[in-house]
Amino acid sequence: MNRALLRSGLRYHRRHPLQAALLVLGVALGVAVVVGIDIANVSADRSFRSSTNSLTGAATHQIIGNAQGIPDSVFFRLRSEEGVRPSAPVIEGIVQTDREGGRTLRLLGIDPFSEAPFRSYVAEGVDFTVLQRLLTQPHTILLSADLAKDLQLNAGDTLALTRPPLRFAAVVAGILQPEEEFTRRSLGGMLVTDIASAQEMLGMQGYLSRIDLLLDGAATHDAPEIEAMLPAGLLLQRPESRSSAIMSMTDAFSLNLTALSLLALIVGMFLIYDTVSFSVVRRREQFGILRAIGASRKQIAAMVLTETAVLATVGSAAGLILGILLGYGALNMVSQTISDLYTTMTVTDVTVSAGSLAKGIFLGIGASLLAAMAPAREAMSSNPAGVMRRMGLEDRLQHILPALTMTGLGLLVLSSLLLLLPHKRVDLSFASVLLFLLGVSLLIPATLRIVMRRSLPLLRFLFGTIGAMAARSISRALSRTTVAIAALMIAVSVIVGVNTMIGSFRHTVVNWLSTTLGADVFVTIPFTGAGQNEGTDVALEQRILSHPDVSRTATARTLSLISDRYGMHQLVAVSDDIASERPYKWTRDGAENTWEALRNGAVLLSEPFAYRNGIPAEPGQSVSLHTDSGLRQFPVAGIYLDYSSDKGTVLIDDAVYRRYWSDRKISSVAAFLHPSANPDRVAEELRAQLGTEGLFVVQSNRGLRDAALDIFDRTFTITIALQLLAVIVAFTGVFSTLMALQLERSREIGTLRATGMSRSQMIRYILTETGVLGIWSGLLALPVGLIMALILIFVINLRSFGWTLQLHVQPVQLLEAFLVAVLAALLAGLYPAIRYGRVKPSEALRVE
Amino acid sequence: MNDVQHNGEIPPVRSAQDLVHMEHVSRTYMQSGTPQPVLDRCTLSFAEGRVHVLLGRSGSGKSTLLNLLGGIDAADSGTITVAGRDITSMTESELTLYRRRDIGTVFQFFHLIPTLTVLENVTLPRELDGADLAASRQSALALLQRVGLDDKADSLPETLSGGEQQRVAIVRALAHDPLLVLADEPTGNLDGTTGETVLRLLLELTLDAGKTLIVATHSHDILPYADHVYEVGDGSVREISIDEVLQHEQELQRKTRRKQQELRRS
Amino acid sequence: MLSNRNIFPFRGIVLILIMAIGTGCATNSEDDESASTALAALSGADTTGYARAHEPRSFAFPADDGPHPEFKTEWWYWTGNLFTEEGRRFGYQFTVFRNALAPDTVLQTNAWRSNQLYFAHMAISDIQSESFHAFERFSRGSPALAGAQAHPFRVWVEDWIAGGASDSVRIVAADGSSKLDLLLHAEKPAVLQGNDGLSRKSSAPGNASYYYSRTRLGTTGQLIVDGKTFSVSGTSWLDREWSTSVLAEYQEGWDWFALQFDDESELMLYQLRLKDGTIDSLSSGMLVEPDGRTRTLHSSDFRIEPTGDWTSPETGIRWPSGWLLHVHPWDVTLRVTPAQKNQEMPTSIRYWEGAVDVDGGSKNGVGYVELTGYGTN
Repeated sequence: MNRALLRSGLRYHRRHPLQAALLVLGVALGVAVVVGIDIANVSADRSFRSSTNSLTGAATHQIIGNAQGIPDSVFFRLRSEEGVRPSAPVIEGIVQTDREGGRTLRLLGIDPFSEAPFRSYVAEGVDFTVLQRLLTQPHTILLSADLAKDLQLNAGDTLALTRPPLRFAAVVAGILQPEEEFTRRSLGGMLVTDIASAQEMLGMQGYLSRIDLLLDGAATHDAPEIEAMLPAGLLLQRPESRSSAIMSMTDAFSLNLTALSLLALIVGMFLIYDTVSFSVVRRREQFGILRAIGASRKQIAAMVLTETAVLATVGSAAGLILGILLGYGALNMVSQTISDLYTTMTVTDVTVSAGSLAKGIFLGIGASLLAAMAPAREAMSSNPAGVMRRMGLEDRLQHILPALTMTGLGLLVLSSLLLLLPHKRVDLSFASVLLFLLGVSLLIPATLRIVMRRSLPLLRFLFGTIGAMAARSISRALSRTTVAIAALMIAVSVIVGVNTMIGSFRHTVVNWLSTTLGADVFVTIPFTGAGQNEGTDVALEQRILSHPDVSRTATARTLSLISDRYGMHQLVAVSDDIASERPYKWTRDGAENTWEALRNGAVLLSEPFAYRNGIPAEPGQSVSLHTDSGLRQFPVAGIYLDYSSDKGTVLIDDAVYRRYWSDRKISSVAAFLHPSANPDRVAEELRAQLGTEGLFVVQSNRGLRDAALDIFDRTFTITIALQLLAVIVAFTGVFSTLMALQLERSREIGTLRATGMSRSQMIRYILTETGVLGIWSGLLALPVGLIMALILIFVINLRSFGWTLQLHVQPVQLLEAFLVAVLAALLAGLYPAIRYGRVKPSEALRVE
Repeated sequence: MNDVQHNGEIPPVRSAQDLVHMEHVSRTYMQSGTPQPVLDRCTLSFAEGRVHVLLGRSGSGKSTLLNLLGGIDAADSGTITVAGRDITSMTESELTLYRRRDIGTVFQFFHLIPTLTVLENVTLPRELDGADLAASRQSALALLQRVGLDDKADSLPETLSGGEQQRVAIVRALAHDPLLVLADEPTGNLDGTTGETVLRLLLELTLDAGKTLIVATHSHDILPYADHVYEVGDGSVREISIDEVLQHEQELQRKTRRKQQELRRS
Repeated sequence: MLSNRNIFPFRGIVLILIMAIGTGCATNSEDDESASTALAALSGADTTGYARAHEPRSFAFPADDGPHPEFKTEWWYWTGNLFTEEGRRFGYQFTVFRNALAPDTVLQTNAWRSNQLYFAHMAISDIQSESFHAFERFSRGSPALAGAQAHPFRVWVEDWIAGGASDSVRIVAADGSSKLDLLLHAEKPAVLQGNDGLSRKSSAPGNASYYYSRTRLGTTGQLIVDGKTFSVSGTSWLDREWSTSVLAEYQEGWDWFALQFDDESELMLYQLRLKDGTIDSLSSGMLVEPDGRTRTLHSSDFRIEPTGDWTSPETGIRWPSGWLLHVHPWDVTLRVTPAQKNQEMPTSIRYWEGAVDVDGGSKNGVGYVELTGYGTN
């Protein structure tokens, strides 16, 4: 790398700060998005792991039960009679504080005497005085020093906690100060209390959430021995299978995010290509001189690449900083979604890992160099004689056009193969989307050539000679215009694709909600975080039935479970079908007979459940469930569509449930009203009657629908940011391409002005040109975007979550996207148009 | 052969060996699909240490010929030998080195790199070869002093006038001690007085260093200094004598006078 | 040896408690700060609400075999010397401690609520191989986990249980490759120590305990040591004490001797050592004749003279090892020799509790010695 050349190149960029800024911006934006999303994913992952870690501690196994948990007596027997050691009783629950705007915290109830082998931070944090307070004063808590600082608490202070319908004044008995950083962070959202207090505070008198065991060589019993001691309905499980089940759910979600972020980077790459290309074009003559003086091809290529690398480094650094900021915001959204859908996240610390930063820099510089390769090659081959004579760049393009087109088609074929092959890999599916976009981009030159020729008459008709000139000039400068169109097209097609996918999804969900939520009013236990299985007394149903407007009711008991076989899933026991017309994907006995089959002991599976566990839509299938009386097989009577969660649900009849499980609680009541009654009013009345304790949430049908859609919309918020980004990057890409284009044609422009073209005519000429570019980008983006939507809906969504969605295209959205393309192009052309309108003919004619 | 007078000194007589030899060299351009033969099997030689002038209108091929000699363009057929080396059979990298080390070019439009200072421009060919800037500085500054621009060594080209820029270009062409100096319309972009000054400097520096100079031009200003004159056009290059040129001029004058008389009469 | 898992996690604070309340004030913990925390917890406000041993009371059995939760501290302390048929010798200790964390009775909202803290020690001295195996257990006093009751008599900490009837108790306790499974049969009635069971510890009123012993319990059963099972028989001793008081700061620790002679008599002696090196005049003891008659000994009635010492390689503490007991009323000097030097309890508060041999001419036998308050070197 020649220093003189590099000096020259960098000084060039210093003189043209706008260009350099564009390049830096392109890299920065791309890197920022990738890093931001990566930080969010890594942080969420770490937070989840560390909170799991602090909860699980060193336990190698756990005994878990069903709905209510494990009866105390099991632990007492294991410990006192069988002498199983080490063992620790654990209670977990969620409570709310009034500080920090209603923060959710995890409450961990433990027995201080059992904790040393499991969670040493507890054992180490308890001295005699603390022990005394924990055991003798009810509702005393321990918390980490960091959390105490957040909530502004010292030992002895009171913290108001609620766990509907109960409220407590918890007293801080001590502060935990674990030595290890990791442990300290993982205690972020956790309160520790004595197990007696925990049972009182969480209303779990007589039960434990689980029993932790450490079954290594020094333990008193091994796993099979302990399993033999367990009553039916309790399972011995490894903690990893629990957390890995949850993580496989969140993984799919974070993968989708990562894919979107990479898309932003790719759009950024276009911008880099454009700006580097532009700088090469501007210096074409300089390169020619340098070649004439004796610079070798490699030296020139190295110059361009090194300049790019330097700017890319600056951009990447800026991108890292931006990305970290973005990461904070993104993490909030991500944890909110994860809390909504999968498991409560109480720790939301941002982890800026070296990995994320390295990724950002590597991608930033790597992508820039990749994007700068073609312009570097162009610079490299600047003919020294080109100083005098314009070599046919276009000739070269004509030359390689067939090769480009073939490669493009090849990529499309490859992409289809990847999509059609029956695998479940989401990452490969995203790769195929990428290949598809690349393939389409490569086909653009050929397409444009054909299209421009055809559209010539139309343009002449609409805009006269100027129109014809515009059409021809686009064809003649294909190598430049292709890139502008490709960038804009990809950005807009992404918008079309993602929006259509979201729109279809939403449409499907709305339809589904209207057919599935047949009742008028719903009373449920509030959602305190996925994974909690609180229930309430059956008496609730009677209270609701006593309302004069209620004609009949149905109950549901919803359990969030994790099993080795099915991972994370739900079991819902319903007393009646509240769907007005349940949408089945498949039934064994026909829709009319299915509920009868349920009453006879069969179950229904939600579509994600069937998909994820590979259960085909055929007769003769069954699922094995751990009931309180042992493992049982339940025949499958049908698969129904369910968009309420991607976890997967097994639907069972209530009476059948009570037969095999000892749990007697319910989770919700659905009320059907008399035809004349007003659901909103009845909901209001029931709320006044039941909802004051905070124990129940009462919603009318419409309210529930709105709430469900709220969660839906919240989940997709992040995509809006990405779309916006795509548009900005595309716009700047088009802008710089057009600037490059106009620069190359400065002589032509000068000639036009010299021959009498007025300023306004010039503006019209250039705007027509860019307008046409915009129109074609928009038009091409529509089918490409729709195909992308199809891929997203029918392949990626299906493989990620198992849902069948209906395609729902909204013409308004398409029109909007089209207009975005045209407007972006016109806006991008405005500045060049005005600028070249002002150029004096003599200046432009003079060859520089 | 005319004696070239400059600074009152008579240059020493040099041996008349040929530095450049062209044999049946042809070059045709494709202009939007139609072939334009610019040089058609030209055979000629250029003696070392002399001033050679290529005369011709624009588009006549004189620039092309210079480009071929400078290794910037490649002949379609024929051989070109420079200092015993066949440049038509050189690879691209060999040509690059040839351009870098053995050729110095002065262009009509100066073509200095705008983002390098005067000094950096001058030392560029050396630097491209990997030489240390510091080492080349001294000789470069000395040359700049000779053209009276050593005080502008750290200025950027855009702050210089046209004449100053061309002077820098001349230094750049000579600083790396090339075999051959090529000049394509060196005064084409300069006004009369400046052009003359630049021309003088070009000749002075080139001949002082004993370099071979080939100048392509359509102006006759350089004729007093030329050792050989060639007429370029219609695909051919032939050496002509100064007398022929002067005869052409006289013819032209006569015709013009006649036309004037006609016009006055009517 | 000692299993790591069972080490009390609270750095022996509670053990300081026990020692302090019992008969002496041991400040030989490594952690002086936590010691003072414990002491602070014990002094003044922390002992309000509890019953105190002010004056003699009437004892009733089997009721008093059970717990007295109105007092802060209590223990059931069995020690014994056991032999196989071939004459292989073992010593054992099994103790259950109760400590009240708060004086009020608790509202039993669930099975875990308890204001009582229970813990237990078990130790086996394998004299032939000179090994010592000691273990601990801790728990809160919820009945499913730990507790004590009189009817039927039962004292337990998780799976370590001593139960039966007051005169016939079965002890079962195991950990790792060690196990006790013994049946103890009272051969004499219980003996009230001190002044009809009221044992004064220091001059301040209320600083006393209620104290009785069963000095000769015929023992049969099994020991498992290092996985090997032994059928054994011998004699055991039970010490029962409950109190609330905190002892004086000037007291450093105590030495306690429980000796059982071949002629079916027993001797209990303890001396409270003061920090200044002298012996507290409240030190006392008791002679028990073969027919069960007792005689209280005052500090002037005996003199304890250490004859040697042993330095623990583990802790560096220098324990006295070997004594001459001059018992004036009997006009006899008893030579007491530890059956094994290392019978140091490896808990956070170090105490030495070990089987000893007694040689006194006419009075020969075996016994157990407890040493506390050493280690402040």
